[in-house]
Amino acid sequence: MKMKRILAVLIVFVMVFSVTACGSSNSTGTEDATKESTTKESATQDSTADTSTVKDTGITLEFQQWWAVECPEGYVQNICDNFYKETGIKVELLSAPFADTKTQIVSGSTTGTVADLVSVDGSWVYDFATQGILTDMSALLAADGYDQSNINSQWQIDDTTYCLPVVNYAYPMFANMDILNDCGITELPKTWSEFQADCEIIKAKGYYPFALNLDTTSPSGIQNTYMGFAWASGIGIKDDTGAYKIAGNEGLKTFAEFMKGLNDAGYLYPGMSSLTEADMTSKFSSGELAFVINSMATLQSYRKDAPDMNIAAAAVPVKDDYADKSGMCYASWAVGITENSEHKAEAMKFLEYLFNADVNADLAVTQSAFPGSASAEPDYGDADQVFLDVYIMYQNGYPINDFICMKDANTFMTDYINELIPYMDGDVDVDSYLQNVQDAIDEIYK
Amino acid sequence: MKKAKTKGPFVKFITPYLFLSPTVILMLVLLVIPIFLVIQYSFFNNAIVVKEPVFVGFSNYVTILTDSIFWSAIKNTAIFVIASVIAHITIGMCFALLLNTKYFKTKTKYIFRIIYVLPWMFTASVIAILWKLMLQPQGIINYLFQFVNLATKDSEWLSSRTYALAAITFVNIWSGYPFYMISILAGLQGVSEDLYESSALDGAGAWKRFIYITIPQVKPILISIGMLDIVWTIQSFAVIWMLTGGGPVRTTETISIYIYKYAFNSSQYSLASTAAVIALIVCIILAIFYVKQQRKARE
Repeated sequence: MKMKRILAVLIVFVMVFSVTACGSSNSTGTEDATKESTTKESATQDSTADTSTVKDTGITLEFQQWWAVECPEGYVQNICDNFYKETGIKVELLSAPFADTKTQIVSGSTTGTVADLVSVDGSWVYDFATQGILTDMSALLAADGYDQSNINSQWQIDDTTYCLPVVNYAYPMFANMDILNDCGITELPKTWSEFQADCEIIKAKGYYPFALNLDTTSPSGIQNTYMGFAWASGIGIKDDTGAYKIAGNEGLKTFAEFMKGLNDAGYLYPGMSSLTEADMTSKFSSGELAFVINSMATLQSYRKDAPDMNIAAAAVPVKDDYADKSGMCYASWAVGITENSEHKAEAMKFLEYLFNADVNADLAVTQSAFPGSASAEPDYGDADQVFLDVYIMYQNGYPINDFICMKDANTFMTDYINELIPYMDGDVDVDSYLQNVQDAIDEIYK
Repeated sequence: MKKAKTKGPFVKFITPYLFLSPTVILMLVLLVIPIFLVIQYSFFNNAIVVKEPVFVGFSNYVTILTDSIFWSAIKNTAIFVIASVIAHITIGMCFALLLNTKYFKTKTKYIFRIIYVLPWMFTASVIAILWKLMLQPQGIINYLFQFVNLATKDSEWLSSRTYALAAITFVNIWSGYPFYMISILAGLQGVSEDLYESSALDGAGAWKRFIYITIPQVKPILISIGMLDIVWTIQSFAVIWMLTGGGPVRTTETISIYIYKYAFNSSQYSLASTAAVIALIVCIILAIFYVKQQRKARE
């Protein structure tokens, strides 16, 4: 009997202990998971923020974005906390990877639960604006009396501002200098002819010279790599009036023939129609590719994955007779305010805070990006030399992206790729290819 | 002794419905309402993204049924489904027969059962990553094929307009055959040994035993899993999307990819719903056949 009692006490003790242990381990796990996924962070959780003297307005803004996933842990939360200290307005972060953000915004808008502020990619703006998801920001800016000269650019549809790019990312050409040195190439190519000549040497040495990512799961390769190459030579898909001019566009025709020449000669990495941006990044890191056009943000990946690789920033080669300024493809972290928001004025305040010279400059430095605020003076003193070289190229040229604010941009990019591949394979001639792309854009804007 | 309380007529009437209500509510919320909404969307100009969508009757159906890309997607789906189901049955049957043979020891059979069932254990994302790495130009498939002069180091599979559909079909076959194998094996183990012994006495060879005993005995299972596989393969999305995204140039665009692109690339939810309703009708017809076959098997 005594033995039974002792056993019972022991069992109870073990059960209580295990429940407590499970409980504590569970909560730790949850905390870790929350930290890692950063799906939802409270505005007041940061212990570093002194909120004792803040007069709480009782207003909480929701901010749907992918920034917190890509920035150093806690960085974006810190911006929100500092904003709260200044204004008493809380900002709750709703974070998701870039790939999921568009779906979340659309689904949120249909159920009326979309966040007050949303981070938007250039290719979504038109659709979000016409679907009534984004509010007219021009009116908010005017009502606030904000000095708009501090904003480097505004994304507009029919002269109405819907988004403000907070920081910009350039898409330069990266060169693997180890491959170039192995091939005896001492100077980076400046023109198409020099590039072709270098490609021939690189190919002969057993490397792949260049990659074109034409996967349609995320069809941005046509924008960043293909058109990124063309824009450097002043070749675009619009004419001087801003109308889409693809069929009969002599610049595009010459460029298409140049690209096909590279493909026919075997200078492009095989399997381009299923090659994603991530694949291209990993091929460059693994030392298979000599040149790649990719976001400035990928430099961090290259440094991490291939710390010993000798990387240089190269200006995208231009057409042999081109002597003007080079356009450089860019993408942005832009923010819009939703029509659904009950606190549009407060949301505008937060957006203006992101354009504060110090906040904007620090974000730009942290993310190896360029500021969206005219007053921001980022201190790139400790920055990577490659980044500094790109910054000079960016300042000497001009940022361009014809796909920003384009109607149904994703569909058009997919159509463009679907017409380019048969041309590259030699199934259609260049004029038919350009005509088909023109038909695709005309169909979208009819 | 207390007399048991008799229930009132209302309580008697309502009791079975109360027992059913959790299931009915779940089915309503998770099945009936979403299906009804999708059907409703298909009759409006552009649901979800338009605040006040306008009723357009069968206009979306006309748009979809006259779209050449839709018919190309139907053709791709048909090739993908027919090839997958036939290969699943054939490979599943071969492996099931191997695992059911009396010539191997039980331990050997267990080991091979584990090996053969492995592809079924992987999630869609793992399957896609695995095969994408193996099928890329610098992957192991090209490396191995070079030994028999079937490929070069630059041969393309997933990015070739000629081979991409065959490549994704192969991956689908590889990932799906274990289900057949396990189901057929269960059927084979239920076939009476007496049938084989008496047929052997009558002088029937291995082939005749397979055709006249094995096949008729497992036929109900084959038809059932065949029906289910057709429906599942029509709905295949994740592996195709992660391997090719429907490309290159729509050569692997099946009906599920077509619907997804309309909904999430172009925000044309009504057209996506219309295509989904058409796919739903096909699946319902197959489901009716499946239920009829099940009833026949029971009888």
